[in-house]
Parts: sequence; structure tokens; C-alpha cells
Amino acid sequence: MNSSTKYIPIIGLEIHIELATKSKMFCGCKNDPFGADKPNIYTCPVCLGLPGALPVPNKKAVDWTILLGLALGSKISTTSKFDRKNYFYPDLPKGYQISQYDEPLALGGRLNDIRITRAHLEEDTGKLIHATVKNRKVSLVDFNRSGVPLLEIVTEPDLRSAEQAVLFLKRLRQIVRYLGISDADMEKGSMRIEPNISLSRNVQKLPNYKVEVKNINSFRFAKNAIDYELKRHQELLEKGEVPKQETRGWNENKNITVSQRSKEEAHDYRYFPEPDIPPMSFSRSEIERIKSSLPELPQQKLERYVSEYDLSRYDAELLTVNREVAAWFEEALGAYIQTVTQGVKQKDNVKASAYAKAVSNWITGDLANLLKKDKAKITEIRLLPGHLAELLYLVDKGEISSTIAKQVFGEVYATGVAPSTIVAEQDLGLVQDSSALDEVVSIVVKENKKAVDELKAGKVSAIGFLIGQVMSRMKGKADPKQVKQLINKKLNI
Amino acid sequence: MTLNKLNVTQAKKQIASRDITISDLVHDVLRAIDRNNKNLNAFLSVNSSALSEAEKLDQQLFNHPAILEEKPLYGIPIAVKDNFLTKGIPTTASAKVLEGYIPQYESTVTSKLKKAGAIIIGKTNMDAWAHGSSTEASDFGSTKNPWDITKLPGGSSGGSAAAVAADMCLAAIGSETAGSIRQPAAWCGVVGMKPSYGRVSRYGVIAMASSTDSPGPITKMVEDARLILSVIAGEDENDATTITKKYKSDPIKPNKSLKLGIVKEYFMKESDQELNSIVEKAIGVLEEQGYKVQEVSLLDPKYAIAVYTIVQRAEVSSNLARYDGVRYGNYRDTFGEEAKRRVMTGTHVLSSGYYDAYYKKAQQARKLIVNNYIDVFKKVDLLLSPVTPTTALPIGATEGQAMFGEMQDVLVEASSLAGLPGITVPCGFVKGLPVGMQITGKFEDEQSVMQLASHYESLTNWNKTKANE
Amino acid sequence: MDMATTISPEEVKHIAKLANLKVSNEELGKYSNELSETINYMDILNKLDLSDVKILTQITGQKNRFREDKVKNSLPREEVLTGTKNTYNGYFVVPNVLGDK
Repeated sequence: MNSSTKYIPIIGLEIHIELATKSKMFCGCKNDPFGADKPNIYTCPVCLGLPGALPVPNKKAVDWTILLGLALGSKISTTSKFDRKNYFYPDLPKGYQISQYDEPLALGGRLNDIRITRAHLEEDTGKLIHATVKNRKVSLVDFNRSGVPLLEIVTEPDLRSAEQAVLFLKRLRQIVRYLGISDADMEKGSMRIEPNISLSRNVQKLPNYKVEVKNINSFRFAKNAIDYELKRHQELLEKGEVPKQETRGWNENKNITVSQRSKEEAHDYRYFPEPDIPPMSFSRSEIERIKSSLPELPQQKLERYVSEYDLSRYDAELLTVNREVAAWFEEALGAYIQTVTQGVKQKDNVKASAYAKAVSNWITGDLANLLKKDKAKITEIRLLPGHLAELLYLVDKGEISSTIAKQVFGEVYATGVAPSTIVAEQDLGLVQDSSALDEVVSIVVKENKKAVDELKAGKVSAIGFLIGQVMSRMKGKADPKQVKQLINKKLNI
Repeated sequence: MTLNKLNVTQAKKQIASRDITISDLVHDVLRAIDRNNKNLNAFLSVNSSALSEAEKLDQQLFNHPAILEEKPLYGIPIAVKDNFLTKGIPTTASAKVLEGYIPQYESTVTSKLKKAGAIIIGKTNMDAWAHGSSTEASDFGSTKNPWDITKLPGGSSGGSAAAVAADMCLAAIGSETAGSIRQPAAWCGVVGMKPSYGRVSRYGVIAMASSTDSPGPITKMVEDARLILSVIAGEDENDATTITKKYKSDPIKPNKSLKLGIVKEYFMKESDQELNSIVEKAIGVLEEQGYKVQEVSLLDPKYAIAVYTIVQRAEVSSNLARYDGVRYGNYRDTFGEEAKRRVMTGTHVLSSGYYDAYYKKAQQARKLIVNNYIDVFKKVDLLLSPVTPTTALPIGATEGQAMFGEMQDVLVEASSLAGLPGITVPCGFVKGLPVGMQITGKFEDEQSVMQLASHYESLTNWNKTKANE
Repeated sequence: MDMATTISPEEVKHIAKLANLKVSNEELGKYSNELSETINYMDILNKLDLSDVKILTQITGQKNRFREDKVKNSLPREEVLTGTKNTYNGYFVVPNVLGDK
């Protein structure tokens, strides 16, 4: 590669998000194309495009589009409307798609320093499947997906690498999921991305071509496809050729992009305002109402965890990965603080940061491991935030050892039984009788002469071994600190 | 007299007084259709269970007399234009593309009619896709004018208008995009009411121009139109363009305080001058009653032709895109010439490079037309003028005409573009062919329109003269 | 006739393609004449002063007509498929469509 020619990637993204409303965008059919077990069972005159059918917009879909716009810092248009985008394709039953052209719901915005051009609302098409029926190659059409609300987000061509694009997409997906407006799952097709890619020598002057890539259904493929295109463009440009302006499809088996059709014969969509749907207008108070329903967004939450709870960025990132984990953490922390401070008069002086680290550690450590092993979601497990709070308090009070705590944790996760119940039923509490403990310490010291000698000789780590022996005999029901003290006392160290 | 000659108001009275049975009524209507449809071709299909429906209704009436109060159109045989979807009954919009199509759902209008006890006696012929003002553009042969079978009935609701004029039903439902109720009603000498846009739901009506399509009644008397409109009007959750304000249909009484305006520009020199003077005479009858009449001026109606042609054909080109033969109907190569003409014009005016010059300009001019009416209605309450430039034209008149429909409807397009309510009432004849006078009102003011129309009707006897067929 | 607004047979071909209509070569001339006549009539609008006029697309003046996000019964699948004979296992069948949109 000729490194003296520095080409700058000019990448823009077009993202489609299927909104998880209960019903479709313009009719009351169930919005569940992925979950439908048969084709064409969630259809009606409207989404089938039968003669005489008329669209009526779903208010929730509009509200959610505005909500996402607000989350991205966009300007919400006070007036907006739908338009018809006219073209012919078998999966488009009306021969036009109801979309938004020149008055989208949201304009501008920013995410990860990438400028958002606009966000608008439209309807999805049906699905085509290729098949062979009676020896004929045909396409089969299923309209379960026809009319599902789609939120389209377009960015400015500000992205400069595949990695940056993937980070952007991950962050966008996180926000979408935080808002609860879509599961944004690329495998299910509820999140689709199409990058527009070109190379330029000069960022100020946009290149005279761009290539759109379709058929990308994972972040990994997005990165590979973009990298592949950047390389392909570089090679062509260095030969003195300009890459053809076209649409290409990502072939995940061959790891290449393939030409689909020339973008120059772009469709003439003949946009015009949708006459069947009156225009929309939003008052300031209406937009404020929607704004007030914005949950704390991941970035805000992360910053708050760092500043308010003194957590590390790393831990905060893990805890805010999605809204469910963050909510679980916050509930556990709240319950923990409440348990600890009950009866305490001056609760205002309680600093949450004193307790946050403990809760965080359990979640990012033991709980995370269990969830990963079971491929479970934090909202579906038997272990509840209150259980963790209770467990931590038992340790704080000195009722159980930290070793026992780990054991109990696992049992609560498996059974859903409260920690205090498990401790009582299985008699896991720290042995309070100091003479019993003393006796065990004596036995261990007597039976482990080698370790005792090593310890007396100055090998500090030997104490760990001895403590371990005691803990083992005590079946964990001893406080390791107390055991250490007793050993030292017995050996006069 | 045979019962098919009754109007809705008379039939209701006689059913209520038990002077006639619904079965007898339907029987006479079916016989009239049987006798006349071969000649007139007003109906594309007749309801084969009409008689058994009638018998059921008679039985229910016997058991439950109060049903007449609950269902205002109980037992009334009504013809419906074939662009209204009737579930289980073939609906074609008189187009070969939809030949054999049996709808899977019911239009709001026919659903309301049925709920009010009406019997849908059959589906009537129209210009294919409602593209026209003659019914000659039907893919299944033209309807003939009952007053002279060498003449056209007008369109696109020609089948409905002819059926009413020939007493092949007691009333009919039509639809108007611009003229399609009023013009055929005028040419057939019956009452045609185009309500305000949004007054009646378009759900289940095969769309022509979404921004002006208005379903409405075609009847023998104004009171019948008022009654039917009160049944079919109202907000519909399935049609986002329907008016949300509840429609109040008060009984009609003459209201002499209404200020009337004669539209100067609508008495065109290109029109039949005899027709113009008939309408002037009709206005004179009202003046004699004490109405204040003044001359008013509206924009040259030729502008409305241009605006309407662009906007309507643009919306048509989009609305007909769903007919691709995949889910229903036949393939697009079965479209007739007029449909192709209109779809192509519409496609062109929306296409890249032409949108601003045509569609945008037309929708701007439309605003001027609306403002023009708002200004005029500061001075008067109702506007009077002829409905058509001529009486019924001969069969074949549409041949070779690139814009027949839009030209014929020159006097009704402006009010359609503005969504205003309008009615045509018979007001005389020229050489044996009916003439209609149109009364246009303010948006949502169907009441004043019908008040004046009804008063005029009561002062004259035009509807007593019947077509011979 | 203003030649600049005339629609040539070549343009008719292009329009027909956009509109997914079949127009035979013999018909191109006829439609060219008819469409041209219609389009030429539109020149009359140039006489109007439309500066400062906003376009009007909704004559009722209504705004914000929405529906609640509630699920309603869909059409039974048997009824959905009754419009055509070209069905297979609950799907609509069309000739194979190559590539993407």
C-alpha cells in the first residue's frame, strides 16, 4: 500500500430500529413478526394494502421517536407529517411506503461526537423468502412484518473507522434498550444498519462517490464489511480509479462485498405529503412531558456512579451496561443502606459510596459469573436485590464469615430462599462460642508443626494455610480475622 | 303505483303504518331492476338474498315494532356504487383489474347502512376507478341515461344516479372526488348531495383522490338525502381524515335569512345558454320568496380544472399502485386507457424535476381557492350556480378526449378542492333533458345547503316528472 | 403548444416504467399527445401569483389524529389469502425476485 497517499475514511450510518410497540404503525395488528409461527397471521386490510384501507398512526410510536430524539439531543420539530415514498416491490403492499421526507420528527443531535442528521418514523415492509415451488424458482411473501413501526436514524459522514462505527452502534443500541423502545437485536432484524462509505484525501471536501452496504446483521460483520470496503476503495483510488457509486451486499460466507445495483439509477420516489394522515404538531408542554419520561441515560448514570458512589469507571461501565443491571444494583444498594441505617438517627450523613463498592463487587464478580454460566438475564433470576443487601448485612454484623457468604450467595441464587433462612436452617452462623474455636485452633497448631515452624521463622504466608485449616474444620463458620488473632496469640506472635 | 316509485320518506311512512311490507317493496324494486337493467346497465350485480333479507326484516318488525325507531333506514332498498367494499359481495370499481374480487371486509358506509336496517339491493356501475364524468369509462359497458338512452348518465356515479332516476331503488350511495355525485345526479334529474370532505368515512371506499373523495347520497328528495347522510356521517376511528365534531342533523325547515350568492363566473359563455337561463329562473323562484340574492365573484373555474387535474391524478397514481395482482385482482396490464392516462399524468407531475412546477404549484393554488371561498362566504351563506356546462351528452362523447372528466366538472372542482358541501337539485329541463342547480355551502354547513335545496324543492314540481324508462 | 412542456414518446416510456405500466410502442404516440395536451393545460397556473402561498394538503384543518397502541384482531388467515390463487403454505407467491431493493 502506498502510504504516502493518506486517505481519510468518510463513513455515515443509516440505522433502522423496529419499535417494540404492541401494535403496528398504522393498524391494530399485533407487532410480533419475529414471534409469529405462521406467515400472514398478523395482517389486516391496512397492512395488506387491500382496496379502500386507510392508515391511522400509532401515538406510542410517535412518542418513542421523539423520546429517542430527545435522548440524542435532537431538536424536536414542532410540526411534522408523513409522506408517501412511491416504488414497486412485492413486499410493499400499497406500492408506497408511508415515511417522512422533509419534516421528520427529529433533526440534529449527537452521540459519541458523531452528528446525527435526523431521526424519522416509517413503516416496515413484508418479508420475502426465496424458494422453489413445483420446480419453479419463486419468492414467497409474508406480510406479518408489513406495517411494523421503524425508526430511521441517519448520521452525518463523521465516522472515521470501522471501530468507531461499531462503538457508535453499540452506544446507540444501549440507549435504545435503555429507553425500552426496542430490543434492537440485529439477529432478529429489529436493528439494521447500512453504512455509507467512501475515502477522501480532504475531509473538508466530500468525495464524489459513496458506496452503501446492505445485508449486515451483526456488529462483527459491520466492522469487517467497513474494513473490507475501505481497503477496496483504497486499492482502486491508488490505481487512479474512482470506486463506482452503488449498493453492495455483504457476503458473510466469503467475507466480501458484492455489487447489487448501481446507485445512480436511484429510485425516483416521488415523495408527496400523505393525504390520508393529518399533519402533526407538538406543543412545548407536550415535548416537555415526553422529555420528563426520559430515564437516566447510560452515560449520565455512569458519571453519577463514578462521582456519587466513588466507583471506578470500569465498574461503573459494567454496572450500567443495561438498564436492568443498573436498576438491580441501585435497588440492592438502596436496600443495603436502608438495612444498615435502620434505627440510625442521622441518616443524612450516610454516604452511599461507603456501601456501593461492596454491592458492586458482588454484582460484577460472583453474580456476573453465575449469569454468564447460565446465560441468564438479571431480571429472571431467583436472587433478588434484597437478598444481596441482607447477605452483606449479615457479614457486616459478623453473623457469617465472608467464606460462608459466598456459599450462601450461590444457594440463594439457586433456590431463591432468603440468606438468613439458609444460615439458620443450615446452622452456618459464625461460631460464637470462643472456647470451641480456641480448641480447634489448638488442634490445628498441634497438627501442623511444619507450618507453625515456618510461621515462627518469618514466612508470613504460612498463616494463611493455618487459617485455612481452622476454617475448614470450622466448616467456614469462623471469622478469619478472629482465627488469625487466636493463632497469633497461641503462638505468642 | 308500484312500490319502487316511492321515495325513502314515503316508504318509511308506509312501512310504519303497515300499509306495505318490506318484502313487497323489495319485490317491486327487484322487478324494476329486472325489467330495466338490460337497457340501462345501471347495476353490475344484484343482491340475490335481498328478498330473504326483506322477509327476515318483516318478521323482526312483527315481533319487535320498536325496531323502526332504532333503525332509521329499516327495510329500505338502497343501491351502492361499486367502489364501496361489501364483504362477501363482488366489488370491482367497474375495473377489469378487480374483476372477481370479493372483499374480505366491509366499508364503514355500508356497515352503517346495514346497521340502520337498509337492504343493499345491488352494486352500481361507474367509470372504472371513478375516473370520469360519464360512466362510459366503465370496463363493463356504459350505463344509459333513463331520460334518453342515447345519452350518458354522467359519472362517475352514473349507475347510482340512473338507478334512482329509473326507480330501480329508493335511493343510492355514490362518491364524489369532484363532480362524481353532483354531475350524474344533475344529468339524471335527481338529488345528489356531496357532504363536506371528512364528513363521511372513506374506509372501505376504493380510493381515487384521497384529499377530496367524499361518499354521499343520491336520492329522489332532499329529505331522503338528509336522512341517509345522518346515518352514514360521523367520525370513524379507521379514517384519520374524518371530522371529529359530532354531526347534528336537524329536521329541515326553510331559512329565509340565508344570504345567497350567484356565482358570476359559473354562468359560462361556453355553457348551454338555455341551461344557464333555467338555473337563473330557479334562482328567481327563491328570490320571489324573499331571499336576499347578490352576485358574487369567484376565481375563474379554469384554474380549478388545472389544480384538480394535477392533485387528483397525482393521488390516483399513488392510490392505484397497490393493484399489482399479488394479493388480489389481476395484473396491471388489465388497466383501461383512462386509468393509464391518469396514472401516467400523476406519475409525471410528482416526478423528480417536475414536482415543484406542477404538484407544489397546484397545492399552492389550492390554498388560493380555499381563501377565495372564505372571502366570499363573509358576504353570503350559500353559492348558487349551474352544476354542468351542458345537459347529458351523447354516448361516445368521451372518445379521444384527454381530459373529458376534468373539463365536464369545471363547475364543481373548486368546491371539491376546498372540501365544501354541495347539493344538486333538479330545476328544469332543456330539450327533455334534466338540469340541476347547485348549492354550495361553508365547510361543515350541510344543514344550510339542504335547507335551501329542500325549500326550493317544495316550491317546484320537477321531481314529479319521471324518466320514461 | 409550448414545446417545452410536451411529453415525448421517450418520456412516456420512462413514465410508464416508473408507474409500472405496460405501454406498447404503438401506444406511445397516442399517450404522448394526450399527456402533452393535459400538461400544457397546466400552464394556466403560471398566471397566478403564488409567492407567499403555503401549500395546502389537508383541508379539514385537523391535526394530530392518532390511535392508541392497542392490539386488535387481525384478519383470519384464510380470508387474507382469498384474493388470489397464487399462494403456498400461507404465503403469497411471486416470480423470483433477484437481489435486493
